[in-house]
Amino acid sequence: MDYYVTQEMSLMEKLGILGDAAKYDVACTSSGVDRKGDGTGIGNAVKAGICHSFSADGRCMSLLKILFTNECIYDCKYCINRRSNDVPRASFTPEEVCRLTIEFYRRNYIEGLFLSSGILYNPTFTMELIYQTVYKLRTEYRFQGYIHIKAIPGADPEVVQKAGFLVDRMSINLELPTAEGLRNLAPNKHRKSILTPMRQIQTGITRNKEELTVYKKAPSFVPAGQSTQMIIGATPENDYQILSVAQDLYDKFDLKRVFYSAFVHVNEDKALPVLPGGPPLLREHRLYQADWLLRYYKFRADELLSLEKPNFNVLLDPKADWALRHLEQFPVEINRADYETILRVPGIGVKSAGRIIRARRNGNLGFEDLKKLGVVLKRALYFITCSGRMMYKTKLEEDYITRNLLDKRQKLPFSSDGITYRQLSLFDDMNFVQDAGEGIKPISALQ
Amino acid sequence: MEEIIVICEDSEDGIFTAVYEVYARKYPLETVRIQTGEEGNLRLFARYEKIATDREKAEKVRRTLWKRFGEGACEDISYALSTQDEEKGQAVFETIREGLSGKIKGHLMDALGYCGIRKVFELSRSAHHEKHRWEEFLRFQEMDGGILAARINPKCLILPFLMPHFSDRFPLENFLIYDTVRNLAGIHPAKKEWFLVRECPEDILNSMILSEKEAELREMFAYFCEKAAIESRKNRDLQRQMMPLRFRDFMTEFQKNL
Ligand code: SF4
Repeated sequence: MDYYVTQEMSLMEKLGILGDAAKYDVACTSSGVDRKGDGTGIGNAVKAGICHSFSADGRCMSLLKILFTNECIYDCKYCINRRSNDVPRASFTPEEVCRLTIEFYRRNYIEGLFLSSGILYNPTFTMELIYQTVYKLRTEYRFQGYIHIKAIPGADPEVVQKAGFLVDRMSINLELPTAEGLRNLAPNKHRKSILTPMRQIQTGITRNKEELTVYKKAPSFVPAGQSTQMIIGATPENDYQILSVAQDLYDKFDLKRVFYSAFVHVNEDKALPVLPGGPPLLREHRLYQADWLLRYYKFRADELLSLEKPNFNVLLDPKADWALRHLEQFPVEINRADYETILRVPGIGVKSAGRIIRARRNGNLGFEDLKKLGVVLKRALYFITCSGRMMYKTKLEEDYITRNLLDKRQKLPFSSDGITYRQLSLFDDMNFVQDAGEGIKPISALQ
Repeated sequence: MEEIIVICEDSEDGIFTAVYEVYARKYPLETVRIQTGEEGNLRLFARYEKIATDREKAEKVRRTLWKRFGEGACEDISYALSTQDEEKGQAVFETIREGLSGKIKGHLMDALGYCGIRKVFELSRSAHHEKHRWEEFLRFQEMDGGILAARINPKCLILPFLMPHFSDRFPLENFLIYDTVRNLAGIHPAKKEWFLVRECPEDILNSMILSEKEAELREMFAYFCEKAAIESRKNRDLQRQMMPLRFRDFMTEFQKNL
């Protein structure tokens, strides 16, 4: 295969440019697959994933996240690598990517490779380059660690298919929550060309699962599932719209994860909003919390938000916010309620709920026990009883509980000096969102 | 009733031997306390019994636990015993005592209403956590001859749990992990089984020299890490919270002397 290689550049310089260019993709997890090494190569994979470092912005770094090239024929308005930008360009060779991956992996710097790319010449050509690279890495270098690649929208489905048999995870970014948003900011991309390969991968995974039940040694296809990413705050969708899209992706496309990426202003462009408070991090944080509730707590998007209340509470996490609006369902009796009900209590997580169910088989639990089981009592105490008794005399009243929960100053993952400023700016961009109010369009309706 | 304080060596074999003796000598179980290491504050109305470690007896206990409680509980007990906690011997003893009594329904380690079991559960969780942290943050350096070497300074004795992870990952590598707190080395020769060396002098590491390409690789990784942060999201507090400073001593990307 023949393409332009930036010869004069050192590997270090390329790594600088192509690592820098890849950082706006937020996914860096190495989870979803358990695989032992087979003794003939290097690497294995651990279901929960392993982080190896945390960057200065506090994000987990698990994979060598790089672009194959930052050359691009497209011109997405929000992207630093768009065609119209004058930035230094570089491309790796498959050999270079393999060497970097192996050398970093041997030192336990990384869990594997996350390879994405700008569009070089055309989507199929680009996908082929990605395929060649991971093929080399898996066969020549016998690498058995984690690999996540991007499927390039519009690429020949056959190349996507071939690549799927070599990697653990694939993702195609939805980029923006609605087709309108996409039209405005990513004129070369279309909702359909994004959803088509997503469907292809989903079908591939389902079929592969069936094959694996018949024949255990069948090669596995994207065993860690597929994920996607939406940019938050570049277009005027509200939280309800975004979360409904996520719900649809989980329901209809069996996605493993949806990632949310607070819009980072890198290009001057009149089509892009100016967010004086910086990226809407708190909003992004609330979306992750809510996403967690969809995936592990069996909440539905329309339980958490609605047309009348389309945005998350800035001060309370979505679970506490939901509980406060459904006080008629509380208090919950810890020694009798079922798992699903206990799971919905603020301050009780998936792990502690499971422990409660198992531990109470050997006798009733009290508040002291709950604390030891990992329940955050200062949050849960308003919503539970143990053997009919509440922990303290408290009122089951929205304002009262809200005040108390807020007094505890729940810790947001932002530097202490940044909080007030960012909260204010979040209110700002929420106004901006409300002006543009429009109904929710499920993805299926857009197809 | 008079308390019987059983003193044993601070090791899995030591504590299991003590458990064995408690049952063999038919001590009244409720009056026994198992204590590791020194005698500490002598209690007035207590009898002290020192027990010497006996591998065979320990092995018998291990087999019984495996048979009666299953793999999960045995793993929790092992992890709990890898911690520094002074109460760990007693907690493990109580867990075994409750388990053998036959009154626990379901899995032993689910019965968190019992103090001893809960303690073992908590200790195991913290040791697991530390092991996981080292799986994340341990860094190998390539030495002359292609040998990979890493130093760790863990609070718990996690090296025996760490070795299988890396051996599965690097079957073709010669590597060694050195616990600087305990002078304990885990050694994995390429294509062979790993083993531990006790009282291994740190000089073995100090005498090795870095491979030729090591400096460049380190620099590349540090450069990559720097590039991976998004300026407008910088948040050092969050970084510190996720990656406590104590791990950074040995981490390539935080070493200044590149
Ligand atoms: S396709 Fe769009 S988002 Fe991707 S690199 Fe090109 S310009 Fe950027």
